[in-house]
Amino acid sequence: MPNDHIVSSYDKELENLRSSIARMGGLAETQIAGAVDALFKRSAERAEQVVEADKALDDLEIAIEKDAISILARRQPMASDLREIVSALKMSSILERIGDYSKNIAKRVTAINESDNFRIVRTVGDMAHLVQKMLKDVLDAYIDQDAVKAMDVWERDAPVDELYNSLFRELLTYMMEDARAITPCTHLLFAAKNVERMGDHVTNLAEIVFYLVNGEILEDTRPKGDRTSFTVLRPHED
Amino acid sequence: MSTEDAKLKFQTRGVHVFYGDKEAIKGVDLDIYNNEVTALIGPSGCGKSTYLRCLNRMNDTVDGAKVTGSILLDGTDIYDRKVDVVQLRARVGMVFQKPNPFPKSIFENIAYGPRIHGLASKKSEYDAIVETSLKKAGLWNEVSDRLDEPGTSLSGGQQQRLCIARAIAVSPEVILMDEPCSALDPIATARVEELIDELRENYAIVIVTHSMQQAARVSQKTAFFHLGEIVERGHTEQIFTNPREERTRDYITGRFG
Amino acid sequence: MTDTGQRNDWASDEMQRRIARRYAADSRFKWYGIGAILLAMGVLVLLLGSIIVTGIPGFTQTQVRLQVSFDPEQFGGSLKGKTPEEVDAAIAAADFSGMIRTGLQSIFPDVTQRRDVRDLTDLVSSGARQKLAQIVREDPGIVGSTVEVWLPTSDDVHTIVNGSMERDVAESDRRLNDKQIAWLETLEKTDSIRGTLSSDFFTGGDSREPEMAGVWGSVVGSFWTLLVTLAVAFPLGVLAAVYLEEFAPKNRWSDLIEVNINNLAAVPSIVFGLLGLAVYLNVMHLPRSAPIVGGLTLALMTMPVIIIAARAALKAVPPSIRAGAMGLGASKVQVTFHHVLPLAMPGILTGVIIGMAHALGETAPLLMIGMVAFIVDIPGGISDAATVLPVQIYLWADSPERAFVEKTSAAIMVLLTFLILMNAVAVLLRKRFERKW
Repeated sequence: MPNDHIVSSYDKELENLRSSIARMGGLAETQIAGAVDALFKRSAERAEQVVEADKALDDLEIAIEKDAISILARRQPMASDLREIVSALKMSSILERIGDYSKNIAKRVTAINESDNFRIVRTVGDMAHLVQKMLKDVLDAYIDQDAVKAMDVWERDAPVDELYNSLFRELLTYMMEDARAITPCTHLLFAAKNVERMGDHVTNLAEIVFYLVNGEILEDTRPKGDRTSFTVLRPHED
Repeated sequence: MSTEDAKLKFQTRGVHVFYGDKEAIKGVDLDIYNNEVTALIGPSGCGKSTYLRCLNRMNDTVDGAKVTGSILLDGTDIYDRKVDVVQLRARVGMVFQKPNPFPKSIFENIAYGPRIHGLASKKSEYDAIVETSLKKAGLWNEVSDRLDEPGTSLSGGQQQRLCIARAIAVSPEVILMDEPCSALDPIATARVEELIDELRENYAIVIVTHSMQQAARVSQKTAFFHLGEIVERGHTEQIFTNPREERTRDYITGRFG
Repeated sequence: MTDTGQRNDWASDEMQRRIARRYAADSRFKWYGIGAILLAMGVLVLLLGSIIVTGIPGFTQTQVRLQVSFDPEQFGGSLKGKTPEEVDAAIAAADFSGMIRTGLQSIFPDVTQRRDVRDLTDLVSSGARQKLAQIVREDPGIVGSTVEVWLPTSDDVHTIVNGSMERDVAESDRRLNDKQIAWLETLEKTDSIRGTLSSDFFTGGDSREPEMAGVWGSVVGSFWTLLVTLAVAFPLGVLAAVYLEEFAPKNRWSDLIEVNINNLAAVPSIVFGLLGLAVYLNVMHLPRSAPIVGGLTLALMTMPVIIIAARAALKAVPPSIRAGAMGLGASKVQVTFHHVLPLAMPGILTGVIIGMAHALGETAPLLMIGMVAFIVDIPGGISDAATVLPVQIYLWADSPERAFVEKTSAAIMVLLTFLILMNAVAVLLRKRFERKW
């Protein structure tokens, strides 16, 4: 922001809000990494840590909501300030959802670990890595008020969807081949779906950042890659 | 676009106002449409009130004031020699910052305008005008049984609505309001704002206000004045959510300075 | 945000001393003020008190009871059935002094020497003859009978009776000789001397005899004069103020006019008198000593005051009223006469009344235009010769008779009463129409 508000405490409050969002973003990133880490290392302990840490995200979301409402009520924000606060409200709830997805993945770690010889498909990790990078970039875009960077993130959800499509087919194949794999595969499928959803949410974040910076709502439809809703796989009929 | 043109009431181009050597307004272009509330916002001394006062030539009464540029009301230049300023002011009514009812009865306050313009001749006609005007101003129910009491005995908000009724009584086409709520409490302000919203159906309304929230609430179009110029004009929603000019944004978000 | 972090020690000795000094200064100043007020009030009370004490006897008249026989011989027979003209002629021919002398001699039969008789009749006012004439004029049928009448005494008796002159000083130091004092005391013993409210003072014109002199002539003179002043100064002053305040462009000329009006209000009033003398009498040849000239002169003097007061009252009408009317399409004249002037009227009237009160008390300019003459008759219009209250006071103050001292004070009280009344009306108007915007 080029100019400061005449009321300096207003600036401070907005600054607090922004830094809270950044902190939430950072936490959400860590949570994704932690959940995937727990998944691959098959570490129940690590998973437990991720579940525990989600509380911090929830608390931050509540704090941001309170602050935002308080600013709305007291300052009657206009223009960029109004967008800033509405964006913070929406972003905090999205980041909280992303945290929930991470927690959900972490919770599945115990169930997947029941099947000793089940090998975690690498694709989940790749997806998570992509989403994590997207999240990091969109948060940078938020902090730098960079709409171009946000648009870039917005367009990067397609590869995540592609990965998810192939993973979906792969896991279906495993399950058809070996009935014992159904339990871990289903859990993994849900975990992958969670990651895919996180990707969608990150694009929402990108849209919010775009609105925040430009004041216009991004109305183009995003390139969608998730085709699993239509995927049908038939058992081999030899 | 053609419907917009049909609704065009005031077309002002290159309006300059000089007070002696001081240039208070430096070339303002603005269109004012029927059935719309146009809000003029801006810091004190930005020229918004001065501009408003050009629209019914109230600046004529100020010594040493000079207005140039074209101000067309329905296509006629109101500063033309042939235009009668008395008639103009009947067509373009004005409501002021401080409620200023005449220290006469409520009835006389309303009947005064029609009387000097000879709009009625019989007592029954005046009665009708007073009743309709007060009803339009949403004041009838509150004062119908005490029309003989002095207008100054009403509360501030009622006084301001009385002033609006007084302006309506001469059937104007445009109503100019110069910070009409700045002396009122929030409840009275809400009543006046509600009234402005209703009046929009029949009049073109131009309102100068220091309260940006008020401009945002009541207007459809907003123009931001700064240092005698219009910095930005447009739909109110756009001005208040996504102003294009940095000065506008700085002003409405409280960053001026 | 400029916290120096340093706390002031409010309890320190130095602070306490400062505070004590401040309080002392406050109360000292308060006492100076009270002292000034007390001094001013004391002087005022002294002044008013001395005027009232001296003036009260001026309202009274000392009278002596006499048996007067209206001898028909004096009137050429009974007056019954005579026309008023014949009655008047008879009265003019009658010897009222002789009747008074006879009445006195019936009380003091042993006074026969010519000189003593004159001293005795000197006890009664020379104006007593007019009293008797009036009695006959009102009731011509009285001729032929003897009636008991109260007649005014001379001013010398009056001052002795009411105590403003000492009676036990050396004979050469008083106006009455020993014989006269003795007769007076005899009369007092028989309750033939009384003090009464003087109707002559309230209804009569000026006179050489203090006991017969009245203020009515000058009150009426003042009335006519002020009427002319009001008729000229009020409309002219108000219109001038309205034009200057509401219509005149603000430029160098209007500034010049404003400065001149303000200066005019401060011009010594005698200058206006000179102007009146030069213009009204020498150029326009208006009647000398007449209320019309006095009124016009006072109008000159009062007009700037009215203009200034009216402009102030017009300025006090809030501009929002003008804007409101103008915004409805009222013309300048409509705004002024429908709204501004009615609202300013109480203020204007207050100014006018104060200006009038000022004019009522004015003497100097009237001296210049001859309103200082000795005028016995009550003026009947604006062109009759007249005098006014303050000039009457001046005239009486200048008269040598002791009794005129009390007449002077009494007239001052009359003048002050009118002034206080006028100011009270002004205050009342202001209070009644005072408006909160």
